[in-house]
Amino acid sequence: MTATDTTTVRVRTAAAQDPGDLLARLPEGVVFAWVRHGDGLVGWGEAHRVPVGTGAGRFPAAVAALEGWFAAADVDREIDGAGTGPVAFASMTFDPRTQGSQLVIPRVVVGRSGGRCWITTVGGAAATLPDPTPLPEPTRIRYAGASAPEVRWLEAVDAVAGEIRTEGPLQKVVLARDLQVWSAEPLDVRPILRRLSARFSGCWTFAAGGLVGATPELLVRRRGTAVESLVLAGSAPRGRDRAQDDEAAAALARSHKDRVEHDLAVGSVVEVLTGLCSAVEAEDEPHLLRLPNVQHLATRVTGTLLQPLSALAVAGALHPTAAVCGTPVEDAMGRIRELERMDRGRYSGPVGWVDAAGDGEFGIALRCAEISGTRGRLFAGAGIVGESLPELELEETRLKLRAMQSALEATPAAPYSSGGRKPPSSV
Amino acid sequence: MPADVDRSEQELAAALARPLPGEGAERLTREQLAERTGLSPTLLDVAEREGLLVPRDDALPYTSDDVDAVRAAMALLEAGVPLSELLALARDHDEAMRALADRAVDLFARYVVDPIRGTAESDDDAAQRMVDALQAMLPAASAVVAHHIGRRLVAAARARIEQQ
Repeated sequence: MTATDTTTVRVRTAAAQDPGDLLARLPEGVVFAWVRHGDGLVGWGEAHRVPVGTGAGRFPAAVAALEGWFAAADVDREIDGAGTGPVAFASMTFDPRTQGSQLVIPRVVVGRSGGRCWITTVGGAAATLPDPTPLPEPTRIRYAGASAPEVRWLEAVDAVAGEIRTEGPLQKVVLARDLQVWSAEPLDVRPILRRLSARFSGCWTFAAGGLVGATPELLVRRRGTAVESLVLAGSAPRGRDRAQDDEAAAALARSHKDRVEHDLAVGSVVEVLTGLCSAVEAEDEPHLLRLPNVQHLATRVTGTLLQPLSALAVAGALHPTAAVCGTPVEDAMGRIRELERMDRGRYSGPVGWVDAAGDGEFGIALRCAEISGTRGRLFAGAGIVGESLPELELEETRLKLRAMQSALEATPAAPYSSGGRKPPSSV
Repeated sequence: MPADVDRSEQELAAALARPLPGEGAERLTREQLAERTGLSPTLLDVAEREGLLVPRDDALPYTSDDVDAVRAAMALLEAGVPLSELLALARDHDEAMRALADRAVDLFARYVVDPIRGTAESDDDAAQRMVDALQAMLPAASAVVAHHIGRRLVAAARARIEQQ
């Protein structure tokens, strides 16, 4: 599989004025984004698409094809560093057996990092920055059903929790469900991105060909030989005031169930990185990560690559983590295929970007929606362990879906009901 | 001389343990309820934990009225209301109704039970009058509440249609 064109593609990176809000600059059409605290990359258009297959070797094959294309490009840049020169946005399906992964080099990429801004054009005349667009009027989102009835999902959770309690070797399975929506007008990814970024500025807001979301979890960041991963698992709600907030955090720190879930997730990342890196280090104790609607247990894991593996290759090695699949991974994947009765598509798969040097950043596509024309598909999942009660897991996914629904239609993020008794986890 | 309080309360408790007028006379086991409604073991567990089903504390915890209620809830699910939203609504409803039920029982104690205790000619007379009052009031209160929520639903639906 070769991705090399017969003519050499010219890639130009020019220094740029600070564009302000990167997301406000996105033109209509297919857009890409990876933005946190205002820094990151946005892109649009499609200069090249690397075909991505299925199966166990899909990541190495995609990396090889992409590196072939990068090697053939004629790159001219005024500034350098991670994210300059040609950049590919990747969004891979959760299940290696399913199609739908995307690896695209946008025609234009605008970046900002550490006070420096740049614009990269792939082929054709050098692009200029489009004017910022005003936020459009919110669109009303209407319910259109789900891939599987919620009753079936509830029963699947009960069955899995029972299996974990009584038989080996399953310890945890992440079960997801979806919700389909429609709108009278075509759904625009750009205002959704901007609302997500405003509400969750501490998360990575991402877009990749119709997939849009915000994730607090960093699967991998690679800069040269340095790699790091931020593992989130175990959650508590935010309190109404400081005292309640601290009480919820203290309860989280004491919770046996959350700590077990967290340690399984950290363990799976450490195990994979140990195979690829020297000097793998994980923080001894998880720290608290506070987001507007939830607080998580978080552990940073770092290492030094033994070989010059691209960020996409490292993401492929780490995926799927216990946080989105379960433990042990193979058994959990089997249960997900049997019980979810739907294709997750790119939900809970790696999403991010990689440049020609192999530097890049990948997250896991959680808290996201797949948008296509007037239709959308929203996803949420919950980590099921032996102690899980199905109705609480159902409620957790309802609240997560509600948060994404409100980002789609610009309504306040508060859930309709006060009935929720369980905080959302990171999935 | 005031009627014997313990005696009256025992009679009331016994009356509450019997099917009341308007309540399905047939008593059922948990298994019979599941069998007649097609409710899965998972959903039955959830409905009990969530307080949607309120079983009596004995070997025949349910009645044929519970069968009707479960079938009605299943009709809502089949009509397309997602289970998670139905559970959330039921949880809020349960929370609101619990408080109202407490207040209603308080009214019964204050304005029905206490006057009977103060005026009854004998223990037997007091116990009989309280049980009669309870048997008249429980179905009456249920009917009032059911009628009211029915009217409220229709009014809300009308208002929504007029809005559009």
